[in-house]
Amino acid sequence: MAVKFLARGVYQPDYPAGGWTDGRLCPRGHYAAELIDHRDRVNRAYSREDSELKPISPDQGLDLLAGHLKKAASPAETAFLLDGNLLCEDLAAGIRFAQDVVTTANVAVYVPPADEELVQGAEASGATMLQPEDLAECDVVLVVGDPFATHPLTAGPILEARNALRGNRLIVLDSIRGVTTKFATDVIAIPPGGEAAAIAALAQALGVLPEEARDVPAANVPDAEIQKIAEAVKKAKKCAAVISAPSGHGQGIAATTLLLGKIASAGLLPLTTYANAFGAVRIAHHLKAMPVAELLGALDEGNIKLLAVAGLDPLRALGEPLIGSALGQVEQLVHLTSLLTGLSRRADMILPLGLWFEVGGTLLAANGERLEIAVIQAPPQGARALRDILAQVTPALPGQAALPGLEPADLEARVTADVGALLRTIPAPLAAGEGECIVVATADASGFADGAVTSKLAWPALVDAQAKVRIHASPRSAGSSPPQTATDAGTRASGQGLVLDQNYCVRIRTDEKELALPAELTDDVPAGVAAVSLVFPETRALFHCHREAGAIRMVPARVSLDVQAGPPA
Amino acid sequence: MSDVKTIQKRVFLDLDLCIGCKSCSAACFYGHRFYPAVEYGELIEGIVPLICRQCDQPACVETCPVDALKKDDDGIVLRSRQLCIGCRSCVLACPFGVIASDLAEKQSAKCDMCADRVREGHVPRCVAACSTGALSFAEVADLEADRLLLLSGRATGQHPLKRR
Repeated sequence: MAVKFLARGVYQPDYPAGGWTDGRLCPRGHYAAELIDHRDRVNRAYSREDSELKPISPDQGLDLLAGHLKKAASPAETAFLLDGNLLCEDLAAGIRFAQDVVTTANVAVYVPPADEELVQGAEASGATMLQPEDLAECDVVLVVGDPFATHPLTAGPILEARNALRGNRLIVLDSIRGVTTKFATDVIAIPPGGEAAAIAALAQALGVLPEEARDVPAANVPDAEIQKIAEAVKKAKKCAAVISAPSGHGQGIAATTLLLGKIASAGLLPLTTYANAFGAVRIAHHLKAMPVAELLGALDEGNIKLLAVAGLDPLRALGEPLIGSALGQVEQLVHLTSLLTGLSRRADMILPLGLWFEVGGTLLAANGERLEIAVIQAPPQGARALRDILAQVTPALPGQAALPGLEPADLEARVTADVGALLRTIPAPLAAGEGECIVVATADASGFADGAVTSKLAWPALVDAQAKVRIHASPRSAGSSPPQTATDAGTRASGQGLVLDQNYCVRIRTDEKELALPAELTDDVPAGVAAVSLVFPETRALFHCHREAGAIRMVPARVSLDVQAGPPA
Repeated sequence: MSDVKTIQKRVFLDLDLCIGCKSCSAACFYGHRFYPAVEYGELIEGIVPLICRQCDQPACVETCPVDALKKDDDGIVLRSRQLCIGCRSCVLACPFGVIASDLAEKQSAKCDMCADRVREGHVPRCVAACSTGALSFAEVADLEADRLLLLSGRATGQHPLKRR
């Protein structure tokens, strides 16, 4: 992305020619023009006094941070949680600061659970990692997820491949009919969470399923469809695979990615939510940062008195149930951030961070290529890179002289994963029980999945957007015969069908809560499934983050729906 | 000063490539300093920007009671935000319905073909941003050479609303 500065507080997106994107920019890339000078931009440091956040100078902020670190009774009482979307230099500095300067092991790097699994699976597959422009030469592109919605710029090369020659195939596997499926030559409808089992079935049909994969659950996809796809892959001159992780669940994404890498001879394009997911996971792995789940465990036990969070809002990303009460036990919460978020308002101290193109640095692509982010303009006075903040604090701490920077090995060491463990845990597809629906997340080209940034933007398409639930359009005429299946979510209690041109709302009941949302009837969503966007807090709350086997998993709720005519009360 | 060739170009949409990502809408909004300048229609097949056709004899210019709309020397129909009173006469007059009827900040919004960019030889922002190249800035002759069907400013494949 590129931004032009016009006048004080006025920025415009720019579209410089060159590179594979040739200046093209998706909606999210445009938001930089607004975020630079946003009213919630953090330009100064703050310290809480008498329950109020009061502005202090940047140097006072650094002195305070050093003071808090020195006051800690032991390093084990201090913890650091770093956002994986910080630049590589900042992540390396943050981890090294924690481990070598503060001498605590309590440092973790957060990336969305689905991204963590994508990276693990990609690195374990040993496949060639592709760039989007490499897809244009392929005659078969196998897609899991909805990349046209999550990463719109990949649509150009994928469509170029599809349209290049008659007979080229774009094969899409997804649990709902998203944007990408509408351009596909072949669509394989899979149950929610059934990606791994379906790809395993395909791998078996192609004879490339590793031995470690045992007891693979049934994919619930007709065998004829699997065989048809297998034939297409076998005959392909160049077959590539693209995976855009469904962000609403953590079911077997690592296994799916690993197996796709085995299937696609030309290579794999894993599309992560975080641009620097590969950099973050590699650095955390190489420097032996603690898993986020383990850090949350330490927080839950009340062992952490000082927590410094750089870059993200874990309340929004992980959800209040997972982290809210744990944060309450922390005595000093320091938030290093570019924008005020919900976490900032709970913090005892806020230090301003510069944005990527204000501080410059490195992102790591899936294929190991370093992407250098140049400095376009200086950060606002007071805002700095995390590495610079920590480098200034380091000399103030006992016995410390300087903070080491990013080293080549930090980015070169690939993530090693237990392939057997990944393949032995291929989950069964999720199935809705009687009167239930599985909630799945729809991909969104406009909003950020955690919603923390989306809610701040002024673009009317976002301001006017509403949380809603998309459900299957059952019989289309009023007064028609009862719906075909008992689990059809579009059923009204009276048994009458739903009329497409009427407004409906959905009362959603989970184990913990009940809420009402507008409903949209569509044939794009199968029966037994309710599709929502993660951008809105109300619908995001339908997905639960929890700790499982040392990792964070995001799982969808099983809900019962009561469809009623009219808008929500 | 732009040459005559530039103003002969218009923005065209290939529905076969439109994925409905709304990059064009975002580009227009942020490029015009948080002011939406283009109306968008939502079809099942995609997002359709309703681009001003820069008519030779613009009805909107004729009907505007305060001369807020004018066709400039380059042939681009421009609207003055200072003069516009939001009476909506232009909205009613436009035969293509491309002037935004939901008034933005109590004024009509209209595509200005990104005159600031076009005059320097660049393409309009919606075209520059388009994720797939579905939007193009071209002359009719160029599109016909590519065997694309033109339908009210929308270039398509064989069928106007069907994907290849």
